[in-house]
Amino acid sequence: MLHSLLALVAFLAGVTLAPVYDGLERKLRAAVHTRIGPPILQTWYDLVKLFSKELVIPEGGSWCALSAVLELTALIASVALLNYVPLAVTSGTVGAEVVAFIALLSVATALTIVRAVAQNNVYSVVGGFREFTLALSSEPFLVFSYLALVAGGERPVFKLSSLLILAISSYVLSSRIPYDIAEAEPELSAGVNIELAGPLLGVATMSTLLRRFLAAELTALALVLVVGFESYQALVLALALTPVVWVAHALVSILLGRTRVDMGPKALLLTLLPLSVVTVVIYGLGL
Amino acid sequence: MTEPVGKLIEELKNLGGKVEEVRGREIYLVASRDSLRSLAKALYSAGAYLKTCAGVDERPIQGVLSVYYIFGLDELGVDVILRVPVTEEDARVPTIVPEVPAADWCELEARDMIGVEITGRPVRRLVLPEDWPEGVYPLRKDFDYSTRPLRGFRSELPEEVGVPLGPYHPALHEPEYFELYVDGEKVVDVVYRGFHVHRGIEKLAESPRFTYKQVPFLAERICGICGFVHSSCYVMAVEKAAGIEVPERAEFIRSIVLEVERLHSHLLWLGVAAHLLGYDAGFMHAWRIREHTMVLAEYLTGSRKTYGINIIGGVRKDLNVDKLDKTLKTLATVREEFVKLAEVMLSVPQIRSRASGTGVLSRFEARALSVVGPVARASGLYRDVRKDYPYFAYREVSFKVPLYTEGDNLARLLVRVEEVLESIEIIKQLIDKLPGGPIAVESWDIPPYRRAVAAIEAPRGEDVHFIITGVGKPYRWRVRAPTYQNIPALRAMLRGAPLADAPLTIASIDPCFSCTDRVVVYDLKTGSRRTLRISGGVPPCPL
Repeated sequence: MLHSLLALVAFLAGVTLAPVYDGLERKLRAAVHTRIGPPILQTWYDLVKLFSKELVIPEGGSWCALSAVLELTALIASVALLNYVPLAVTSGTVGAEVVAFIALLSVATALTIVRAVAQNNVYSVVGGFREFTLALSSEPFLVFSYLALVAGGERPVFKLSSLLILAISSYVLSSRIPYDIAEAEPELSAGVNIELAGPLLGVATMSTLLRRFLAAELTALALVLVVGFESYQALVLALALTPVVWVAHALVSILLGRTRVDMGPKALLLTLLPLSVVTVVIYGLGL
Repeated sequence: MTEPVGKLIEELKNLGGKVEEVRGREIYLVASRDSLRSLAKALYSAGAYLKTCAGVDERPIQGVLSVYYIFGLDELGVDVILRVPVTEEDARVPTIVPEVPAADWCELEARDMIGVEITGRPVRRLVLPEDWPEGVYPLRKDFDYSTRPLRGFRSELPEEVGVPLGPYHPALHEPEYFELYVDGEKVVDVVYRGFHVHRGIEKLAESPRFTYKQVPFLAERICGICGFVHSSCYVMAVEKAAGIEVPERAEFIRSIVLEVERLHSHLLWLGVAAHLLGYDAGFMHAWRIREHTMVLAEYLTGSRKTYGINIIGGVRKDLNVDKLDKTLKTLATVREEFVKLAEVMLSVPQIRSRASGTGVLSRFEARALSVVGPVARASGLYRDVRKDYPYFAYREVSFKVPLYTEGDNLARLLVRVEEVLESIEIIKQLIDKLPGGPIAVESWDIPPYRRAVAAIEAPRGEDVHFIITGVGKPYRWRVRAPTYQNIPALRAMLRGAPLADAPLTIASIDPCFSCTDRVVVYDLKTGSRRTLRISGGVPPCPL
């Protein structure tokens, strides 16, 4: 009961705080740039403004709008389900919520690609293709490391290794530099979002923010699980750590440049594949 | 005249060239159209590059239309100018593009502006819009500046674009237009269409409202970044033609301001390059340091922007000597902060990996296309007007010309990084050696129908102004900005490169485009066509 209550609070906090964390990131970015930057609530102001505009359906029609809304729905559900993962760890079983979380995350990625292709714009199509390539080179590792952490049992080295894979692949999930190639403003003029405006752009922006929240919370949760916390304690700690991870993600993105579609996925595969093999070997050794 | 130059002149004479005039480092030859190609070939084989060509309506003074081809022998520090006169009734000149590929644009421009037909090559309109009436040539003397010919407003864009957001659009300050033909994400060919904002400045300078004294104000408005380069180049051309000896102090002041402009321009470009590579921290800090260079300009000239300084025969206002100490301190700050920024920026893995090996322009292509400035120096061409044709106070200072052979985006970036440091040292040397005396000649006289070529090393490369003096104002003033010379090289640089690197490669020549250039992408597989916007601060300006 307590965990369910906490999960509900965590879900509501996640949805409402993601834009605030983004405001924090913008402040941090501005500080590194020696700028003042916008107010911390600016992202919320932007979202309110976008949702107050008239609805503009881009060329490509309702498929684009539908996939954008479904993508956001899938991500909201993912945020809700993630809060139940500590319970599954405590019970030591991979339950429906764990599998549903993975499925919803993959569905959200697929819907991003559908949204991009439905826009009938060569830049959104190129962006969609880039999103697909990135997903192929990172999401299988995200799923693998997530399951390993949930059902890995008492193997500290194995968990640490899985945590490293999850940290890298969840950063890719956040669509930040260097992996923002699906949007890549100077190259593709916003790519997957090029034709979006008003409420639909608001929906797409919210989806990006929830992805970033998920990326931060996933890493935070993995960290507290590896340390040994369980159940609601793990959830509370993960929620407290989420803004810290978000800021760490922001710092990484500020210090790097954008990768290229033929470089980034290759580098990811060259890093994550050997790490995964080593992790499996560690599991086999019972470490 | 040195021995190699003498030998070359003899060879050119044997090929049909007639020496018209030798003025300082400029040798004027008249050539028939039959001998033009062999003369051009001989000059090119001798190591010359084509600075530009210019069509001139000389009917009022010589009864002919002429095309001037300005070749630079940078290793000898000499310009050879071929003039090919033709009658109005038989206004045809053979192309020299097979011998000198760099002549592609200026031949087409001469065809557009004075109506000399170029034979032996495919022709198209370069500068004039497609709906400009046939047989109307704006730079002919019988075409009045205030004439506005009736135009049909024919669209230049194919219909399949639908509603074109560019090249003409309120949001686009200065449109340029690239068509990138892509296969997947690989660029396989490029077509360029520019000159949408051609302002007719050369014609304007010939109009009754302008005099010699007023043209510097016009010249410096050619560019928002390197306006002082253009006004300097104009006054230098007039001073050379009229034989005006500029006081030494004025030459020092001009050189100092030119280097401040270079600092400003390179820092601006570096920020843009960082932004295009997604490294916005580099962009912000480059532009923060750039702010110091505007303060430098204010200390030295009283104005953050380097406008209104040049006059024929000198400069309008002396340097503020009370602020020289502050200037040196600010220079030290710029150097210190720039070195840190360059170190950090070049250590960002994505900057190195994405700039390295992309947008490659080989030495052979660079020479064939007569590219200039950092683009030439990054491709192994030792070409810098400050060294090759020393002007103003540059002969009084020592500096290094950065040279790289890779010809890629990284090489062009490194050339500019090193040039910032060299510029700081040049300014320090110039301030240290600043002589006393007047800052302008008291009076001057400009005889009509004298010719001169002036060249200045602008931040983007060699800026060339060719002038034929007239009565009270220039008879013909030809401006060739460095971007004009470097854009044709983009085709070679972009072909075979990833689409993702196209914005960086286009920006790597530091083009004078507006912040919202348009790029059109054709997908060869699907046949689809859309426009791509290069956002974010490519500096404003061009002709």
